[in-house]
Amino acid sequence: VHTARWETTDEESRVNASIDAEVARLRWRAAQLVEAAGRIEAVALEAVHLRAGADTWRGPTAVAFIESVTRARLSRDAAARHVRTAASQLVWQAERLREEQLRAGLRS
Amino acid sequence: VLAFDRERIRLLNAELRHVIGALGSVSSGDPAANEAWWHVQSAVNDLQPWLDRLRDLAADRLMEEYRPLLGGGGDRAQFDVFLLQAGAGVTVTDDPLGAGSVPLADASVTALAAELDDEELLDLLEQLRVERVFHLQGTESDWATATTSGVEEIDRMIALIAASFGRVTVGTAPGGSDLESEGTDLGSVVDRLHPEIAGPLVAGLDTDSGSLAVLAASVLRRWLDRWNGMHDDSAWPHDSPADHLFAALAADPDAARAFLHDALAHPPGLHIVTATAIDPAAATAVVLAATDPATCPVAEAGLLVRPYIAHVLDEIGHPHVPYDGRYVDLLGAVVAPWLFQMTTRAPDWGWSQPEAAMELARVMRDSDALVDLIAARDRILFDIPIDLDDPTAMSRALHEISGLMGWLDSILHDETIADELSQRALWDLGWSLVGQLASTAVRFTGVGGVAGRGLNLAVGSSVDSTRAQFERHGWWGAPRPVDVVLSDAKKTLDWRRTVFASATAIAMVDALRSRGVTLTDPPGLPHPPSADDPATCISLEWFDEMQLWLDGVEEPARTSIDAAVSTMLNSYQTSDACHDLIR
Repeated sequence: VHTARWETTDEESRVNASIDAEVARLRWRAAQLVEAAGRIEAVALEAVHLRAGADTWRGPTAVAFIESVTRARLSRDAAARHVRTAASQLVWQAERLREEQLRAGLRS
Repeated sequence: VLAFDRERIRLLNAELRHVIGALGSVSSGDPAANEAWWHVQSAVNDLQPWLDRLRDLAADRLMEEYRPLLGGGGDRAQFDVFLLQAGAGVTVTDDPLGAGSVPLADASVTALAAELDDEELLDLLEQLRVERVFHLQGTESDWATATTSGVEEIDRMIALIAASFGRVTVGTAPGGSDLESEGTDLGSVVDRLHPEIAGPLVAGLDTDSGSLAVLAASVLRRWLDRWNGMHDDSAWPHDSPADHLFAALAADPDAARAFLHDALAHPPGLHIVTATAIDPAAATAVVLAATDPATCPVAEAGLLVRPYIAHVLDEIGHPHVPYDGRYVDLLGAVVAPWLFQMTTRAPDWGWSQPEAAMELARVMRDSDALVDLIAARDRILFDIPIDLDDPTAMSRALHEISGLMGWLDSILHDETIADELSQRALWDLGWSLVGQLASTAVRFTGVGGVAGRGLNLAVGSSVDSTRAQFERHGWWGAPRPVDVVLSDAKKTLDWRRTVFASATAIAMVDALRSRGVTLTDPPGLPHPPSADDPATCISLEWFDEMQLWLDGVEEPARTSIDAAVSTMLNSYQTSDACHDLIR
């Protein structure tokens, strides 16, 4: 069985190449962000929290420090969440772009 | 205050620097995550300032108003600083974020003490002892006002530390350290502690009565031994563990009793009671608590009071402890609740009445003891059962009260204690007992029901009035020379019993009239005799007049009044001239 092989014009080839490049770029950015999210999540604020307990110091300043660390942990978690969300959105955009490319018959 | 462990702060600072570096390294320029980078920056902003604070704290710089430790003063924050530094090996400063001298919560002090191991605890308590001695001695003039509060503060801290042990009991394991407290070998700690600090620590423990007694006795024996080794040139200490332990024992009658039994059973005997306290009243309070008739069975009280009296009268004056005559003075309060066991009910304590009275006489030789005894007259009557429905018991009560008066007067007479103070004390006691006797006798008539309070008020008012009359007319006059008193002692005795019998009759008549009982009138009651009555036997003369008067009185008042005055008169030793004349 032979499938009809379409002949593509130069214009179509250029569009295809451009879409491929965009998809690749989106995926690369997403990968970068996922990696960044992992690094954010790996920041060991829990260890700081543990080390700042009553064995180390006591008093209003010690309490204030724990409050700062707690706020920082919340910020860190929020940052990681945002980065992962952004990465997911980039992956989704890349997928959408690839689907459009197929639907337009620009790529088999 | 801010307490910190410098090395741990350094490690925390290093950890924080690493974390901030890690957060900075993940920053990215991807516009899709702009909001995320804002969160990262926020975290960095929260943490960054702490790098400098921790660095300065670890380097001992920048912290404001650093307080020099052990530099004097008695305020709370100062002591918190000391406690934390001594106890946990941490550095302490004023906390820049705290509101000045913020005191530690009591629970924090207890929690801190609970974290210490035995050695740390010993170190802490020893430092507290030194600090306490420093406060007590107050050698520097500017400490003059801080001394008391400083000691009180340290004692309060010791109590908080004691609380960190939780419930403590003395185990039954033979030998060795047998104090059971979770996480700490408390027995070892107490044994190794200087008794001066072991006293307040033990006093603050949450323990049962038996354990408190054993621990207190152990600490005081060690303290006495230690003191014996230091004597001669040493001044009597400002403070003793007994002051703390006795307060705890006096608040727990069971513990006080167990403590006295323990003291009696081991050398140096009751010296740990009378040779350890700075204040004899504190030691006596333990004896009073132990022998309180409200909680102490009669027989057991005898096992404690009798040896205590003998100890105070015969043994007091420990070789190395200054003699303190106040113990003898305070014996009056100790014997007051048990006067009947030292007179009419002597067999309760396994001795004869003369034996008991002789011992009581030895106590009463001291005028101050007598004054204390009089002051405790409410306790004297504690044990008199007044059963309004039982005429026999009522009669017995009358005889007991008057019998007691007779013994007391007899003892004073025999001991020729004729000074004004003793006479006055006995006079006071007599009037008190007249009130009791008259109230009891009126109840005995059954007239007017058994109204207690109203009756007591009526009798009290009458007795006060009669007494005032006696004193206003000078029948109770200025003190007389002792030789005159001695030569006239028996007549004085006879006069006094007649006065009290007369006052009893007056009070009864007043009380009965107030209840609507019609008594013969005239003639009125025979006038009470005056002290300078020339009659050879004042009591007989008065009693004869009384009988004439009673002939006109109806029953049941007649029999009751007759019984009361006869009881009062017969209880007294009579002079030779009056012997057997009064029925």
